[in-house]
Amino acid sequence: MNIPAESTSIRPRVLLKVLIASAIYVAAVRFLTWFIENHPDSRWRVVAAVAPIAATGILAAAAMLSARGMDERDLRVHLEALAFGFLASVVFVTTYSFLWLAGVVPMQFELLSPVMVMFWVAGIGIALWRYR
Amino acid sequence: VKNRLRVLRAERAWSQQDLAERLHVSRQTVNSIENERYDPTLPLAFRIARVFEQPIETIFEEEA
Repeated sequence: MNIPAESTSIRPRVLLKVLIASAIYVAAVRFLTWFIENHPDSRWRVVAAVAPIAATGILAAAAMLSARGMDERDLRVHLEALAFGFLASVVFVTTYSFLWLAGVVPMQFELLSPVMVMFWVAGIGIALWRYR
Repeated sequence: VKNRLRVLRAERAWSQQDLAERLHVSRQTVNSIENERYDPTLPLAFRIARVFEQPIETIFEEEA
């Protein structure tokens, strides 16, 4: 295993930035959805439709790059958080899908990414508490 | 796994940050190992032994 010269650690400030970025993402997606629905003839519709993909990609790349500077304990925290985030998201999506089929909730695909991020952050909190 | 990290560090009057810098890990990792919340991997355990200049089995002990 490569040993980073100076190991970084998962800090609450980083988690706060992720939560703020997620909130901005949700707001941006809401605005883009409104734009697409209300400007059916605009040539910017395609750009608006794929804009969140770029943002999501940048977020994913940032998460991967941040893992490179971590030491072994923080990598384990990261791994456990990703596992928790993924599995909790599966449970959430399954439950939400059945509720949608039952007509209880509307289908909102744009909420999936922020929900996954929320579960990931919760997973980091749980893992940090475990290895405190 | 039980360990004597805190005692050995105190004997040398090192802070957790001092030890973390010698081991190239974060201070939180040193804290987790000292509190026996996290068991280090074998490479890190060997680095710890090298830093304290002691055999690995005198630092770490398997819990009965």
